[in-house]
Amino acid sequence: MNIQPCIRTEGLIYRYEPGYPALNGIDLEIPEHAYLGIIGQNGSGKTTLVKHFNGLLKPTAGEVWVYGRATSSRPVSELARTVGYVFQNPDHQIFGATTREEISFGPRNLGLSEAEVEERTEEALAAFDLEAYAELPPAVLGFGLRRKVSVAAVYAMRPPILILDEPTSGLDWRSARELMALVDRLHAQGHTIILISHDMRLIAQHTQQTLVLQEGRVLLYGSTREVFQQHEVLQQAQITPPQINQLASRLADCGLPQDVLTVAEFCQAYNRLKEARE
Amino acid sequence: MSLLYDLYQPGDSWLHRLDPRVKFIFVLCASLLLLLMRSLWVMLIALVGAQLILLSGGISWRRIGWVWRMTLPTMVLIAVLWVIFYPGEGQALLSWRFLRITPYNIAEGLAVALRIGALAFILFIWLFSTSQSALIRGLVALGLPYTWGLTLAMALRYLPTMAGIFQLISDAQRARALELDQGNPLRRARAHLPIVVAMLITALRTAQNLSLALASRAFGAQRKRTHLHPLHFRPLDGLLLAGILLATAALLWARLALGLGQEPL
Amino acid sequence: MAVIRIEDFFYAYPPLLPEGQPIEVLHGVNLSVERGEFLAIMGPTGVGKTTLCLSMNGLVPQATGGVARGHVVVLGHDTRTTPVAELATRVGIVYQDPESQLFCPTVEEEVAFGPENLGLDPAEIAERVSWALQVVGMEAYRQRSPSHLSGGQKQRLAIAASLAMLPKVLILDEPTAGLDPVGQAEVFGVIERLCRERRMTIVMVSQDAERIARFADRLAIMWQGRIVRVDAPPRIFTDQAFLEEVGLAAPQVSELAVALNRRWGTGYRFTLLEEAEEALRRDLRGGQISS
Repeated sequence: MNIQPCIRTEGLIYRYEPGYPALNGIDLEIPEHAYLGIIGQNGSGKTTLVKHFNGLLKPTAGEVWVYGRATSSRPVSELARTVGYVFQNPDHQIFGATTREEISFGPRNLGLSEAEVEERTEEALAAFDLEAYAELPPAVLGFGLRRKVSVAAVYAMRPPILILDEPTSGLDWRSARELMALVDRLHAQGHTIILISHDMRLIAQHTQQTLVLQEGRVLLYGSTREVFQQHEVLQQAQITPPQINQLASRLADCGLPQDVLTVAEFCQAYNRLKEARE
Repeated sequence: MSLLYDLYQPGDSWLHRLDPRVKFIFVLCASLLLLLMRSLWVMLIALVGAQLILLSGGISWRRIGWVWRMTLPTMVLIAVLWVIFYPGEGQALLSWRFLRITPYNIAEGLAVALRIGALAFILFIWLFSTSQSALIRGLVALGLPYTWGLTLAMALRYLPTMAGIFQLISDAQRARALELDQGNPLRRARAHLPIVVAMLITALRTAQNLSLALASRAFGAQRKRTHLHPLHFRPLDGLLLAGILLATAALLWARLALGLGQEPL
Repeated sequence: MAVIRIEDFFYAYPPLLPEGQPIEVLHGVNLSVERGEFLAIMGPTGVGKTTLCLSMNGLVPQATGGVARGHVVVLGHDTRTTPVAELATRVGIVYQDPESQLFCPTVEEEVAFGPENLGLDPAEIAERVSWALQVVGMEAYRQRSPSHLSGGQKQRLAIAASLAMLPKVLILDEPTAGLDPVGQAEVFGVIERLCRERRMTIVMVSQDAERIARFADRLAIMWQGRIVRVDAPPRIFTDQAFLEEVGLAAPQVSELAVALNRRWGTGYRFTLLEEAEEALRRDLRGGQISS
């Protein structure tokens, strides 16, 4: 299989100030159409890393390529066509007088025709089920809706790569599930998704690859299934795998597989064991 | 730079232990005298004296250098402009068109420039050696209303936070292809609008939360406020304060009655 | 004895615009919290959890205005009429956003702020500051600026600042939302200590089902401005139809219990990892031994 990496980094080092680097030599290839989770404690370099993907930060040393082109000489406004970035706090991007205006802001910045801007805005409003709020100021909507608006506003720019920083923080379970269903759909439509989260259940349920960062270095990088089997290594980064995965690992002596990621998978494995016995 | 937000250098020198009110009164008296005098020698003495006080108070060379870096360009600029634009009296060293350079106006320009430096260093004697809360408690003890003091303290506390949020918001909007440095100044100013609006909304939310947090810790209880570390006015503080006031009175008299330090040279 | 008693409490925020309608948030809340218990509150966003928390220390309606009906009584004091500053010595509160509740230049001054407002003697303040910082394990950070702390440390400091008022009740409004796993563990460690060692009455809003299952005595579910159910966490977490209706998650092992019960007709009700492990091991091994 020959999948082009859409993002590649080599020897990436970044320092905010002289002293200890926030990123300390990252070599990474993210394949096109990946669904990548990035995990690690605060300060491990997650946000610093993804800010290199859309050019908000330029490497202190090393290089980052997006679709084969180095980011170091490209302005953020140009990279924004390729890499969409939804920030952690929706209030840090919401300013529009109406939700429609908020969503059309990005496409308009891309210099598209008015007709195209309108087409994309309406499509994004529909895709995120926000038509009812189109004429309301987004700043007065509830937190769950503000979060949706912030994702829709980036989605409307139609970037092939979409970065989401803690998209479900502050959301209740149902809103989180609905939002993640939308993200899953975007992935199915061909977007590359990069998801930063502290919620291991979310990572295990949705992503296909997982990158674990610790103190600016790659601790683990592989398929999500492989990563969550490495309990000892994860413990170094003080990361606890999802409860269901821990349960399977505690019951290894009873024959349960070690790569369980969801409750449904656990049930399947458990049922097979029971049925074999009866 | 971070020094801007956190001027205080923790320490336990005589300067640190001094009552913040005494230091503040010293700043006021010394500034008054410097503004009334024009003598180059007075300015030199003040500047050297301020350095000695800072060093004996254990203030780092890094901080002293920082003040020099901030003030030196202004000082040089003022000295040069003064010499150019205020033709001097007496024997000219150089005379060309309107330019007339004399020892007098060189001394005058230098004195004005050094005064800027001396005033800055005297102010930083107070700011470098006094923690933010001691500084504000000192002002409150001298009559500033407590709520003003608290507001000032919180403004200082949230300055770096707000600067950080400003950076985050600009990044978020730039990630949506907003170009901040294209076109004429008017267009650039307009480009900042999305950042300013988001910033205002965020600041309002923070202020609202802050008022709840203050109230839930009994702020505004109808009792007289006390403090974890009350200001202690020690005998040494009294002695120094008396010295400062006496010296100021004497120098003021000398300046007004005897014309001390009235002339640049 | 009930430490907090909420009876038929209605509340509406004042309208955003002068000619607008008041914004109704609480529609008749009933709840009582016993001395020394740890009550968790779960509910979707926007159902009024924060408003309910604020009603327990009087900020709703005293600081927010609007219309209130019914009663919120804390340790015998009606929170609508007792001044907030007086309630603050009985009810401590920790908010979700650490940044906007820490406003002092140093850690020790942050903790001292409340006692200073009470006009206490400096020696007494010093004693309370040392004690509160020790309870949350932050003595080593006295002179640090709160803005330079990690998220978990900030929330521990916010807890210490409340504790310094020597409250009988501590209310925590999603204190771990937005923290990294290490920060979450730190904050729950402190809360657990407060309830195990000091039998403090704790009311905590959280979405962390797994930790609620481990620590809370009772769980209240809030839905559309009301408390719709108060029960032992295992009973709620294994009632899947109910959770589905209110849109909340259970610990994964509880979801597993429900799924296994459906398939095998078992009666599992586990909410903790250890419980699930023990029961399932018995089941899988037991079968082997008997055959």
